Amino acid sequence: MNRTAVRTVAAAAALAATAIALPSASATGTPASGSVALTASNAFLTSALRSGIAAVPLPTATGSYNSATGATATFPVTGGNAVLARYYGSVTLGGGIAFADALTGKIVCFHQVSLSARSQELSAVPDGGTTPVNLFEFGGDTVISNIGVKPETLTGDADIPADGAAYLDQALGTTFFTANQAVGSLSATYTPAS
Amino acid sequence: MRSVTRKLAITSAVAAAVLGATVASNGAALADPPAGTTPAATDIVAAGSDTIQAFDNGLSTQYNATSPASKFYTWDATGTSPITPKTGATSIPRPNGSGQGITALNNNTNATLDIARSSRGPNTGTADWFIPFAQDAVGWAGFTGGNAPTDLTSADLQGIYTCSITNWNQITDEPGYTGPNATIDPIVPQSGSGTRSFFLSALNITAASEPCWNATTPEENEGTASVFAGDVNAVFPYSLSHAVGQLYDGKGSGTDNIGVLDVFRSIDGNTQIDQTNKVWNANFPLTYTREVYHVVRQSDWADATEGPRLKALLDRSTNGGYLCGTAASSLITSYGFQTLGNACGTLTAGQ
Repeated sequence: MNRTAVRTVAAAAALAATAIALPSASATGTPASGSVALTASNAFLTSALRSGIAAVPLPTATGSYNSATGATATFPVTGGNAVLARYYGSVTLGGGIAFADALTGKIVCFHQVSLSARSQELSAVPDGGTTPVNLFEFGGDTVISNIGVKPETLTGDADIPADGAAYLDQALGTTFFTANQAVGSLSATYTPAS
Repeated sequence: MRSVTRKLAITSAVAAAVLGATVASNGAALADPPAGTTPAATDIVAAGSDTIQAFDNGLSTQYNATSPASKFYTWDATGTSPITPKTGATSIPRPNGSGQGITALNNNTNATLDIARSSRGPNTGTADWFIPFAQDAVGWAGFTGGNAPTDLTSADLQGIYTCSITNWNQITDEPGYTGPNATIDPIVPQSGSGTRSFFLSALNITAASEPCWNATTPEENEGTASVFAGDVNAVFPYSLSHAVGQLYDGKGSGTDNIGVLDVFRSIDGNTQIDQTNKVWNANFPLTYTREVYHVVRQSDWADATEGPRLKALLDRSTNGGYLCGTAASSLITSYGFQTLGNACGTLTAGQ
């Protein structure tokens, strides 16, 4: 691991240690359940690390790594009114995600993560801000479960939309992110509250 | 309420007359492959739903103008039958409606038919991919100036189509409306119509027929059918996108028009048509909205030869699919449909 990568991992570890867990949602009846998993491929990870960039999930999101598939951030479902197969509503998710650039020393953290059923974008609000940023979107080869099937599932390639790429580059002071940049894969599993 | 109904009826009649002139001046939409054109074996051809056939005719014209490697042609739901969809194809009965289109797709190979147009969603199965490109809503139409109120509740519609409500004087849940003593005439589109199956499903009706239904089953979305002439008691499900295209965008032609019907009605108080913006109500209940699809065989989508032909037209915008890109979005809205944004091109297994 080169010096940039070491600094990046160290920044990521520091971020993870200082992250604040969100309160768990309370509900009557059966609450909404499921998760959204974002997997960054090894190709994307390598490219990002070479540019000094790392991203880590913030609680209550969790992270894992598989040498074959890459790094996965999993965001738990906390609510929502979505009907994914009808492209209606949104799913609210717990946790957050932080991006850091070791070369510029800048860090940006996001919470209030949500998935829009219609735009199929994963968005989050930067800490200290109020306007959501579309960070990732379902790209090519996206498959959705049939209407009425529970839990609902949505799987496909993960891309970075143009607005998300522009925001991240501006916030981190980088030129790494590009519109429709391939990240890896996205997978959503959702059962609405009942 | 009756006076309001009458005012709306007059407005509708005037609008229809003006629109009729507009359609005439724009000329008729292309139907089937253009005269003298036989699609090549390597072209892609579609058949099935009436609801999206006018759109697909427009798509064919616009897409083929980009000189794609495989052109796209579409066969209308009605016309001479049988048809030979493209060079080297098997002669097949002309598919009339979503169900027949999907059946034809699954009973043939891509040597005969590549795509089924569908206004119904996927049934359980894994033979095909249902690929949505837009949203539609299905409401109800009544005879312009007829006996129907401007609003019907879902319960009213269910009662009408299950024959528990057979007379307008049984409609007692509409404030200000006193129905005349006249027999309601519930009419459904032709068998195999996606609009028919969707509308009945939305009302939780599973019966294939009911004794009070009119025995005549006209082509969907055609208020010009003879069964409606003078029928002041008619009730008929109608694609609101198709109606918007017919009413405001000059997309109707010949029998493909609103005719003596009007869709300026509401369900459960939800207005069907936003007459100011000339679109269907974007907040219409989810129960009455639906996605419209192109259906392809899963094996074709994965095939090294056929797959790229289909994907060039139908794939998601990030994969370069024409229909989900910016060039086609204005075409979609010009036919009264509402766009799906990034969700266009999502695959759902079914048949």
